[in-house]
Parts: sequence; structure tokens; C-alpha cells
Amino acid sequence: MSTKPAEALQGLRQAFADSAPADPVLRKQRERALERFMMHGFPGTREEAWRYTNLRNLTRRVFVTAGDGAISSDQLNACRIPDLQGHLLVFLDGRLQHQLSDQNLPAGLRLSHLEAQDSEDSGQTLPAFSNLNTAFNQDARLLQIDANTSVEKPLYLLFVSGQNEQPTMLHPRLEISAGTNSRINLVEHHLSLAQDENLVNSLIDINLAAGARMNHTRIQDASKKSFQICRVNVDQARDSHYTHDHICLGSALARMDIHVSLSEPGAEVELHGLMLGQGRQHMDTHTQVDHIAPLTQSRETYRCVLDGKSRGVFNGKVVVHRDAQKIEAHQASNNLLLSDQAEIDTKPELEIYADDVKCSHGATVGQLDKNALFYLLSRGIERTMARSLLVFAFADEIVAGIGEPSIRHAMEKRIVSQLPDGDRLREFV
Amino acid sequence: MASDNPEFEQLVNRGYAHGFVTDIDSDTIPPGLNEDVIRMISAKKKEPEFLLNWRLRAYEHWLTMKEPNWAHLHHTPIDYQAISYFSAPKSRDDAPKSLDEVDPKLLETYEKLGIPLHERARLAGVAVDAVFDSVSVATTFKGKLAKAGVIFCSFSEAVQLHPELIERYLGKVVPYTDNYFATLNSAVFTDGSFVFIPKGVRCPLELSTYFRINAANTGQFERTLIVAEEGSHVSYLEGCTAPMRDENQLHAAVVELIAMDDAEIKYSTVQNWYPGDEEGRGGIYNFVTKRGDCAGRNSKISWTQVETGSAITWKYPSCILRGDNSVGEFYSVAVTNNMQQADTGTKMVHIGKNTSSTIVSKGISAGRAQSSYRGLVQVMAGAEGARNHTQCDSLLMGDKCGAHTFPYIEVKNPSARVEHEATTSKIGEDQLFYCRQRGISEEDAVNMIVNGFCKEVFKELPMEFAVEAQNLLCVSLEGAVG
Repeated sequence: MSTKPAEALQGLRQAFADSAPADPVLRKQRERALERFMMHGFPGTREEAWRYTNLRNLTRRVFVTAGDGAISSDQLNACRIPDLQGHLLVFLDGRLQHQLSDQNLPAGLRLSHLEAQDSEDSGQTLPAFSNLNTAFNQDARLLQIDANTSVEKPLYLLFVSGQNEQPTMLHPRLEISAGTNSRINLVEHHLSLAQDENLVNSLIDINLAAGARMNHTRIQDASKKSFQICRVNVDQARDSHYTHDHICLGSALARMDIHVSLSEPGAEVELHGLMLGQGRQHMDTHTQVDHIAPLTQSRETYRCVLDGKSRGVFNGKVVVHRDAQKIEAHQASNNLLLSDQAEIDTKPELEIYADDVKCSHGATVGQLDKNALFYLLSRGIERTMARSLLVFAFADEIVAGIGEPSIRHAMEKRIVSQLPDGDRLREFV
Repeated sequence: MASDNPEFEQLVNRGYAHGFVTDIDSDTIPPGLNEDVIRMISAKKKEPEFLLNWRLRAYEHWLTMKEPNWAHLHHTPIDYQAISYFSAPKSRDDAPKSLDEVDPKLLETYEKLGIPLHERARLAGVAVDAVFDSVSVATTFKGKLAKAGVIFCSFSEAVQLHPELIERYLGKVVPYTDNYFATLNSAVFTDGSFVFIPKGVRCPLELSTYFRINAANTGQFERTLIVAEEGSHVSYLEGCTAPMRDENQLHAAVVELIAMDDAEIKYSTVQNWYPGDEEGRGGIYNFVTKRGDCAGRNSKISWTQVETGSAITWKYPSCILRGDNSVGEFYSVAVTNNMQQADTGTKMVHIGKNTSSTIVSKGISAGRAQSSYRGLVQVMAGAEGARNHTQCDSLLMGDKCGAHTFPYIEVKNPSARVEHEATTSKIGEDQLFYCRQRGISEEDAVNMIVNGFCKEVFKELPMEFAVEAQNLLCVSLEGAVG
């Protein structure tokens, strides 16, 4: 069952008519994608994948497509991670801003426009938001890392939502193709200049060739009224390694889908995530790891801290295909509820069709450890402070795993500032 | 028998509105399901009006429902119109006349399970009239229960003797609108068990369907209702380790348990129905709805199950923890071999304060079997101090089987503590090597390791059952190694 609020869908058609490209081939493709989306509309809670995430608030709005925004370099400096020395690419309202971005990318790293991107012919049904992205994306980009290239400094992709009058929808699209034995650190940072009610629907496809390594850090700190939908599809070849660290702080509703296919032996993936919910925020992470080839490994750790009336959802699925022997898959979902009205729904799933496997998953839901709290109280630390300290320690397990020190520090600072008694807490951490 | 009842006669002679004519000489209703069939079942069992109405409401609701398809199961569609919904005891003519006519493979299994000779005949469905010792055993048994005030009888008997209790409790835990198979059961159930333990009574015996004389013919739509009043205690055993001869392919049973203040119900099941042959032909489809209501304070319901039979098992014994401090437990071993499929697990719904639940699920897959654990732990906003621990482990034997885990955890209370752990692995090469090195044959070594894997659950079974269950496991996994 899908929700079909006629007005929202009508709004999408209108937006499409206004923004469709002139090129007939491209236009045709986009029309097809839009029709596929329209057939079912926005997914409803009767669908298993959206069981705990209601898109009612999203479907009540009519979004317009983005115009040409502007951002000053002062504004830019205020929102970027201060000490991160990297190759900066700035996307404002979904469009690459050449004058604000690094002009010269290092050798072996190429950024180009992404053409002909409709994958409908593959025969599989695409998720609703992927179709929506195909119908609307504006400045789709292809990032290529040449074989044997090791990019020293991180590539910093800053996605900024500008100041828009009306709720605007942005559909960033990125395809990344990492050549054999290449190495890259990718930082994806989403934020807003104003308290907008935008819809950001990102779609990122990543292909790792044999032996390629990628560290992908994603920070979502957008407006607390916005809707952040993101899908990352990763396909990994022999002996490649992909690490994903996700820090989810912003938005009214955030939904993250990561789908990793370990297609050849020796491929390894690590997924880590932290969701910090406050107020009425709703944060949802769905991961799926397909062990298609033998001798592959996956590790997942997800943590969720929920306060106020926020709600967290985690669904981690591991599928071990037939003949994918000698694989290892481990998953943990740890959740902390801080208030009476917060809610967590977690579902770690295993689907296993091979026998020589080592798989485990664990899920916990609880409150702060009473003994730890007592220890701190007994040493004269007052309750609010002690609680904040413990919450920080819980969250920091994920943050501490981020490889790039400048991001780690920025995130620790950011989390501390969100906790009660944060100013004083800084002395401790 | 039929002619004694003019109402029934009338009903039979009326013919079917849907076009086909019935000719009822025997006690079997031709295949098909409609209102008349339900009226007929009800009339045959001389049921009071409220029960007939309840059945009809269920049937009406069933017509609006769709068969669920969310389970991790694949089977050929079930033709509900091809099933006969009432058949009196099977004709003795086509049953084997003596043990010599029984499939030698079946006898071999009995031998391995260590079943006494006279029992083998009964289990294999040999047409013998004497029920051996069980009659006398059952008589002394009934006397003892009556003295304690415990009611333990077949469901049909209870409908005649205690209609007020049936009316009060039937469908209170599993309403007729609950799910597709429970609704079907509500419309057409033929018999089952009824247990009532009065206030403060500790049932002097372990109740077992084995001792209920008419247990053999309860048919495919069984309905069990157990009510434990304040402060009472009962342990109930269902099923039998020996494979039963059974011609019904579809089984859709419903079990309802109600535990009042300080009451405790322990429900143990050993299920070993025909699983089909190695290619997956035949075999029982077992779609069971089991639910316990911990209605009172400090009440406790404990489910223990050993599932080795059936081609398809679809079963989620659940606990509704309504009373404060109530406890729910679920211990399960599910073994699937060859082409068997099992989708089983539990639901623990925490509503009352300081409720706690424990889930231990062990799944073993061999051959080309698929086994899934599907569980829900739900902590409602008011369930202050709720506690759950879930452990679910899967053991894989062979590279063509599958083991899956679908645990749902929904928590709305910050004081709740919920833990879930799951592992999947195969029997370790080093464990096997260790045993082989000490001169233990591979088959024995595997049996030993598997039994160790299941120990946590077996220790919850009543003792005699636990021993049988271990043997059963070995028999079920025969041929899965090597």
C-alpha cells in the first residue's frame, strides 16, 4: 500500500514539467523514471522496508525544484569543518560551485558530468526514491580514481542547502568508480544555511575495482526541519575494502539505505553509524550486505542515542548467498534511550544459504549503566554532568573510529555542544 | 447416531446451496468449505448456539482474509476447498492389519527411539481395538485429577459439560479475527483439549495429550484452551516423539493459555509429524497459532518446543505479559532436514511493569532445509523495568541448507533492558577432530555436539521427554552427516 496524496504527486509533475531537460533522449529517460515512481507513489508503512518510518509529513508538502542560489565564502568558511585539509568540492542546492571548489584536483582524480544514468533496463525494480532521483537530479557527477592512484588528502564534498523561500527538493547524484589498487578518503558533509524544510534525496553509486580502498565518512547535520533521504550502493571487487562512517545529527526525518555487494573473494566492508536523536527527530538506517563471493567479510556497528520524543530505527540485513563459504559477518546494534517518549525499533537480520560461515549479530536496548553513574556521582560529579559524560562516552565509540583527526575532533565538539552541561563537559574530553 | 437428531437430519437433507448434492451415509463430509459445513460440524457435536455463531462469524471474517505470504516459506498453494473438514474416525479397512504390513522404515525408527512394542502398533495406526494399558492408566489418572478439582478433557466434552467456561474464555487470547489460519481454525475446529486448574491447585500430574483417550482423532484443526486460576500450577505436554501416521496434510491448530495472578503454566511440545520424503513430496503443513496471556500479577507462562517434523512449520508461541512482574519464556529447538522448512519464533509483548522474558532458540538445518527464527520483542511505554534476553543460534550442516534470523525489537520505555544475540555457524572441524581422535565415530560425534548445542532447551523439558528428544534428534539428522 502506498500513500498517494494527490497534491504532492501533482506538485511533482508540475516540478517535472518546469525542469525537464531539452535533450529528448534524457527527457524520455526521466519521464520513464517519473512514471515508475508515480505508479506506486511514496512508500507507505505497509511495506516492510518502511514499516517504522512514516512519510506522512513529507508527502504533505509540495516541493519545488531548486533555483540558482548563492553562498558567500564567509558563509562557507563558517560551516565547513575547520581543520580539514582536503580537496574541496562545494555543491550548493545540488549544483557544483566551481569558483568555491578546488580548481585543481590531484592527478588521477577526475570529475565529470554523468550521462545516461537510467538503470531501469537491469530488470529489477528500483526503490521509489531512486526513481525520483533519476527523474529530477540536476548536476549528476562521475568521480573516477585511476588505477594505482593514492589520493593523499581527503576529498571533501560539501553539500549545502541554500536559503530558499519554499520547501525545495534536491536530488544529488554521484557515481564513484575507484580503479584497481587505488586509495581515497571521501568526506561527505550535508548542512543547511537556514532552517529549511527541504527534501534532500541523494543517490550514490560506488564501484571498487580489485584492491581498491575507500574510506567514506558521511556527516549529516542539516536543518532540523528537513527531510534527508540517502541511498548508497556499493559494489566491491576482489580484495577491495570499503569503510563507511555515518554521523547522523540533523533533519526531521533521516533515512539512510546502504546496500553493499561483496561480489568477489577477499572483499571487506565496515559500516559504522551513530544516530543522535532529539526533539521529534526520526532517524532510520537500513543496511544490507550481500555476501555473494566466498572469503568476504563484513562488520557493522551502529549506535543510537535517543532523547525527547525522537525515534530511531535500525535494520541491518546480512545475506550470505549459496556457495559464499568461509565468510565472516558480524553486526552490533546498541541503543540508548534517554527519555520516556523516545522509541527504538531495531531488527538485525541474517539470511544464510551457505554453511561454512561465521555470523553473529547482537542488539541491545537500555539506559545508562547505574553502576557507572553511581561511580561518577560518588566522586562528586553532579548528575546532569555525569549523565552527559556517559552519553558522550557511548556515542564516542563510533566517532573515535573515524580515521581523519580533524573530523573526529569536530564531531566530538559538535556532540558535546548538544549535551546538557556541554560547556563544562569540554574540560573532560 | 445421526438419525437421533432431527435437526441434523434436516440439515443434511437440505443439500448445498452451492450446487453440489451431499449424500451422507458415512460420517465424513465431502471436501469443501461453506456455511453448511460449519453448521454441520457444530450440529454433529451438539454445540450450544453461542459456539455456532462464533464459528460462523469466524468463517465470514475468513472469507475477507488473504493467506499471509511474509514467512520465509515456499509451498504449493493450499486448496481449501479440497479438504474435508470433518471426518469421523478413519475407516479401519485400509489401515494395516498388523505390524508386518507397516513400512519397515517406520518400524526401524521406533526401534531407535526405544518405543515399547505394543505402543508401536498404536502409533503406526494398526487396527487393533484394545488400547492396552492406557485405559487403566487413564482411569486412575482421571480419578486423581478429579480429586484435585482439575478439569482435563477433550474440547467437545468441555463444550457439553462446562459451556459457561468455554463461553467465557474461548477466543479471549486468540480472537477469531487474529490471523488467516487461526480464523480458519475458529470456523472449523473439531476437537482438542480443555484444561481448567482451579484457584490454588497445583496439578498433581503432568498433563499429557498422550493419556487423553481420544487424542488420536482430534484431527487437523485442534483447539486447546488452558486456564490457570489464581495461584495454580500446571505442566502440559503435547505431542509425542514417535512419528505419527496421519493423512491430513494441512494442520492449523490454535492454543490459548490464560494465567491469572501467581499462576504458572508450562507448555511443552514435541512435534514429529511426517516431514515428507527426501525430495520433499508429501509431508504435513503445520500452521499453528499459540499464545499465552499472563493476565495476572506474578504469572508465568513457559513454552518449550522441539520441532523436528512437518514439511512446513509456521509457529510463533507468544506471551502477552499484561500482569505486573509476569514472566514469559520460550525455549525452542527446530530441526529441519532434507526439504523441510521451518519459520518459527516467538512474540513477547511487555505491557505490565517489571515483566521479564527469556528467549532461547536453537535452529539446526541440514540437507536442503530452510529454517528461520522470527521473533518480536515489544516493550510498551508503560512497561517500566521490562527485561528481555534473547539468544538464538543456528547450526548449519551441509552447504545447501539455509538459516535465517528476523528479530524485531521495538522499545518505547527507557527503563527497559533488551538484549539480543544470534550466531550462525557449522560444526567446528576442530570439535569433530577432537572426538574422532578419541575413537568416537563421526556420526556419534555429530550427535554429541548437536545435543550439546540443544542442551539449554532440553533441560527445560520434563525428564522422560528430554531423553526421548535426544534420541529423536539423532534420528532426524540421520544421513545429514558425511
